[in-house]
Amino acid sequence: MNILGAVIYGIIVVLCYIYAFKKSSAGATKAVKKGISRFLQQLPFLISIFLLIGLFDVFVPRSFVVSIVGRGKGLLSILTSALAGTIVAGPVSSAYPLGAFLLKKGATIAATAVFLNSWVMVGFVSIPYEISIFGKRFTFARNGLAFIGAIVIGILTGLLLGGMPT
Amino acid sequence: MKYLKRYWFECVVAILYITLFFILPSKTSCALKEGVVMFVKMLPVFLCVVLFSSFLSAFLSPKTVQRFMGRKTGVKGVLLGALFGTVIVGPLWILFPLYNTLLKKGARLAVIGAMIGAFAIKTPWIPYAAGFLGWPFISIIVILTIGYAVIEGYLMEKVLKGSSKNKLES
Repeated sequence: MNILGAVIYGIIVVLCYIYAFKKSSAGATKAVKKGISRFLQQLPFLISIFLLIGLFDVFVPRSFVVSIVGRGKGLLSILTSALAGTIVAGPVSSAYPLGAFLLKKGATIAATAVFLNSWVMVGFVSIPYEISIFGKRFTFARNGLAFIGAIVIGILTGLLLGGMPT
Repeated sequence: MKYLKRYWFECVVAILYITLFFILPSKTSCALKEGVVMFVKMLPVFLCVVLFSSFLSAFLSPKTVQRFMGRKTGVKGVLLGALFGTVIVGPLWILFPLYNTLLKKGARLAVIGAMIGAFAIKTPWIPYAAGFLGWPFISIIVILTIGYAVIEGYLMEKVLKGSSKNKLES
């Protein structure tokens, strides 16, 4: 999956630059230079985020996350699931099997949906990076709205599929 | 001092690693390995994203962006943004430079907000996810997420209305 994604992105970029060099080779060279310099500029940050994700993944064990999701009753279980989803980091490919595992373990559909949504939508580890690009207001607005959205979508999913916590 | 301010995040991560390495060396090296592997896997994608956004910022005319994603596009533009967001794969934040370029070119905040919101849906992943969670679960989440992404876009525009565009670009 990752390889396919990278190949598609690569093809798009190559096509773009073929067009660019045909149109104006000076402009294209400048764009490449700018892209590479920005890439190098952000590289330390990027490495740090991935290393931090590694730390989170190893030191916040899945068993701990599983024990948080759906803990408590009613709305509280929704909130704990959202928080658990916010702190976990890692590729989504590992999120879905974990979600299935949670359902099997007896977590409600709503709690599982909230957990998965907040995992994908809210980026706790990448907040510093987001701030460096968009600024604080944008970052907090976006993550706040995503957090709320994860909860709303999860509750609606639970209501529709009859898996609300009692 | 200047460097500390610029590289505080890197410093925090480094300090965390050094400290943890002394306490729990085997677990820490495990984390390091995982982080490095993920980083190497994502590196080509990130390079593509950065090159793509520098291409766009040099060759895409603001007029085009404004026509498709600008202030004048109504619900259609926002919906289109949300749909576009579902096609992209990779971690959410890897595309931030691209979104920023589009914003600078005059894309409407609601469109970008919807795009980021809809990013939670990874279309190529859907069959895989359904294999684990079942189609009803996934279909409902997908539909609701697209709907919410549109709302999120508009809400972001409302919330951030006060902040000038310049602040966003700095």
